[in-house]
Amino acid sequence: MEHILQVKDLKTTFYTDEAVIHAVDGVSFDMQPGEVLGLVGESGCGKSVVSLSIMRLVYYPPGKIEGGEVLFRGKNLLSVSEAQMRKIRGNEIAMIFQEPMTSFNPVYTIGNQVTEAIKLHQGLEGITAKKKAIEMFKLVGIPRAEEILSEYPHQLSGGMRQRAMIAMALSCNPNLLIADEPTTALDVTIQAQILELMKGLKRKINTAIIFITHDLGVIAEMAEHVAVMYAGKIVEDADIGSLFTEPLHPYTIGLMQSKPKLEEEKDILAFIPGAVPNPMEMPVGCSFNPRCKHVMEICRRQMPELIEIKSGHKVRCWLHSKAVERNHEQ
Amino acid sequence: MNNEPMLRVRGLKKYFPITTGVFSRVVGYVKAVDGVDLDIFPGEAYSLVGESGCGKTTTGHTILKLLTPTEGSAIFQGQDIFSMSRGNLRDMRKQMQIIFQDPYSSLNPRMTVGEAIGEALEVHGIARGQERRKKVEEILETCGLAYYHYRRYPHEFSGGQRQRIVIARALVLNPQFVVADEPISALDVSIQSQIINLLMDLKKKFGLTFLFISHDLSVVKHMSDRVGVMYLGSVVEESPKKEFYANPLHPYSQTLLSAVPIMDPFRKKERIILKGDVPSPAKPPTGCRFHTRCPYVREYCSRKKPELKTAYGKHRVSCHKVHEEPEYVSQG
Amino acid sequence: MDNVAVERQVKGLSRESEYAQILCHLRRNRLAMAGLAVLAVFLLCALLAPVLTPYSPTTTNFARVLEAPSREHLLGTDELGRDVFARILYGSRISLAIGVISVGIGMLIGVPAGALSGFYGGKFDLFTQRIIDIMIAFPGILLAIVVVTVLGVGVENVMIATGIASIPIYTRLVRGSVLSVKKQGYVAAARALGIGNFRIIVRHVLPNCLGPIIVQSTFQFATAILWAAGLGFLGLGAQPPTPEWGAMLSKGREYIRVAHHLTTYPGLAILLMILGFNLLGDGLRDAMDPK
Repeated sequence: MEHILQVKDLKTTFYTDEAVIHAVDGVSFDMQPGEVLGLVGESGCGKSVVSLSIMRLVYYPPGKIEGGEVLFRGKNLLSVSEAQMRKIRGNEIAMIFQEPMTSFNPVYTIGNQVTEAIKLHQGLEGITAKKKAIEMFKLVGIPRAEEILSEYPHQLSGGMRQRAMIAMALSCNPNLLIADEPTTALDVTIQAQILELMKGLKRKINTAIIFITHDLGVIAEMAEHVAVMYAGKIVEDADIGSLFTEPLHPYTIGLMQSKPKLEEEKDILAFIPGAVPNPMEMPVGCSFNPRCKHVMEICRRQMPELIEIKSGHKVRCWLHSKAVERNHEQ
Repeated sequence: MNNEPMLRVRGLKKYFPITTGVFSRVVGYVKAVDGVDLDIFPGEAYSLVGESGCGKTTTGHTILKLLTPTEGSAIFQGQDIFSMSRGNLRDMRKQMQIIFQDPYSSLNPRMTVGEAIGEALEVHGIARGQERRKKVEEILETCGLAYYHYRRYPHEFSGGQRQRIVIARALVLNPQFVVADEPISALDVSIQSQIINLLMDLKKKFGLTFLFISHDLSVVKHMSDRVGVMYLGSVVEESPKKEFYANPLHPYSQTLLSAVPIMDPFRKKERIILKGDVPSPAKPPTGCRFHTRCPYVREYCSRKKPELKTAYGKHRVSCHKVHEEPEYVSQG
Repeated sequence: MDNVAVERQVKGLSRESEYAQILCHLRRNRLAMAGLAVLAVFLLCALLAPVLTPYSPTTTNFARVLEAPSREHLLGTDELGRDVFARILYGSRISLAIGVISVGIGMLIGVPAGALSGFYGGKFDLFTQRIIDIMIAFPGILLAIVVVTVLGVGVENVMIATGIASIPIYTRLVRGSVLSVKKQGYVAAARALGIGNFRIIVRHVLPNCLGPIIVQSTFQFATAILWAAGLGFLGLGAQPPTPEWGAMLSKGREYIRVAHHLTTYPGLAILLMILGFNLLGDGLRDAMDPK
């Protein structure tokens, strides 16, 4: 099947006064049309910078996309002109953000901003654009769609704003939707509503979605395929079933075990010691080595490669690469 | 657990005025906390859960009189905190402490760790000079930091370490009762469990009584002995943890529990999806506050506010359906 | 997370203290460093005046009046035969002293007033702010003139006048900063620890308002010096024979056709000193808030 998006060895670096930070350091992944890819990681792991790089929204200074390719339907987005990129943004690739309040301009009505996007990208005019906006609002389950069009962002609740944001993002039938922590700022019951909505939409419109989050629970519900990021690199890449039944990277395992669960009772939670490394003082070798239970001598010297251990399940860890090597030798 | 509560809160109300115009005319009130009764027993961990705006944080802050209550009383070890003189209240602070949500804003950037933790010791005349330093270093190590962090500034620490400093600062006075206001929600996922373990450890070690304020039901399940669910300024259900998680009674609690994402892609769970949003606490619905979103709503619910009554054992809930109020039943 | 967030995160992780970062920013700002250099030169002039010139600023020499600049008298002599260079050197002492004392008075009254007003709010706040409103209703220089008229002319009274005129600026500024710092978690934490209000203001609130106060003081130095020169020019400030730049300008004006150096050099001195303070102030402001 043809890929809708192929990211190859993407490198994005931030140059600040104090240091050079490799926020995204050689990230590669592929997406099929209609697939939902979960990008998981903690703050600062580079997951959001990946999405900004795909959209080419990293600005210099301080940020710079320094290498790699982003092939969207076969076309390298990193080499198209800015004018072409503007046509792709919001049209073929749409994005929704964590805080829908700041993503809307407070001085215009919701309707104004949604129809603006529709006019711009779909060439619809006046009443047709408004009709389309109402249709989209109904699709995302906004009640009183017509009234809400004439309201200002601050008049809506967080959940409603996020729905409006999704409506705006989907109004141009994008081939790819990037959702950056879309439910993190919301309450659980509202999060449940939005997740339900997105699952429903996925079935209806068949858009590929990159779902960025730090919450493995949300990933388990939404994604078909998962890439776990740590310190600017993908450390594990697997389909959802395989990741949750047999996580391989010690970081992934640690994340899964350290979260208290409703369905089990424990006295002491498992935990990952230490903290995410300071990007200015990255450890030598595997960046997870200072926190890893299974650390070996080689981990402190050399960064392991992302290796396919079994079909469709890749991991960046010496524990597993060594095992693979041994098998080859035998 | 003995029978005398350490803290007894009755009829707690906290209204924030909504003002308008040049002369700050009061046009209404946000009823953030609207009649809360709580009993917290020595040595227990009580959790208040609910969504943003339900009043759980305001409750925690008002109990410590960090906010001035509008109405009600809070008796801590036999003394009414709300009617206490300023001097007595300052003394009382030694025994009741709070851990804030955001470890970034809750540390003064211009004070070293030693100063931040030691200040309270000095102000309360507990320890000075070398003795103060010894005490601070001790509590630093108890909280998983090192004695040599004494001279460092907050900006040199990561979020998790900062939260440890905040915890150390709260515990250095040797309090008996600690309010932990979303102590982990600002932290990275991989750090959260470290802090949860630390808090549980400290609870055991110092025999602390905790009031946890949280929106995360799985964390609450791990950390608490009893759970109170808040919705729009009132406690709608209260129960020992086991009973609550095994058999949540209030329709809102059931929704909250069903909304928690589960880390298992193969388990499809039956999810209750609520309609609409939380109503504004400035204009709370009449009758049962939850009736606008409740799947079991009947006309009676919008007329009469249900009381928090015992359903069985120590499990209390405020719901006409659970209590099978005659008027509710007859409308069905 | 956007670019700004990434940057903020990097800042947060920086091992350097905030002050080290500000200094680093400042050092890279050429204009600010130029301003600092100008001020350093003036400070040296003020301190080393007796070493830098053999002349006294007040000794008259009627044999050599209104002479053009020469090797002997670097910037010429005035209508009473006094060395203009010496007068400017000693004049920098007066200007700097005016700056220091006026800023001192402004801070001494303005900072506590603003801090209390912002911290406690309520009636006290309302009361102070109305007084400040009244003071602000007059332009600063006018207020200073009123004060001088009431207190009488003279350098000391000019210092007091410019100081009083800068009180409202400090009060407003500090009140604003206090209002935002007071909402920070550490202030609530201090309160929860049973720390008294006075100590909270002094130890937790004010140190975190220092940035804007420092920046404002730099500008306030310039303003005070300019006001003092203006008062001197109007004859309300320093009285002869005090070598005050504004008074020198005013006196020199009478001879502007025959001896322009009597107005040019004091004027240049005022210009340079004000420029120095303003450049440094701009630099400090940028360094403290790079966004």
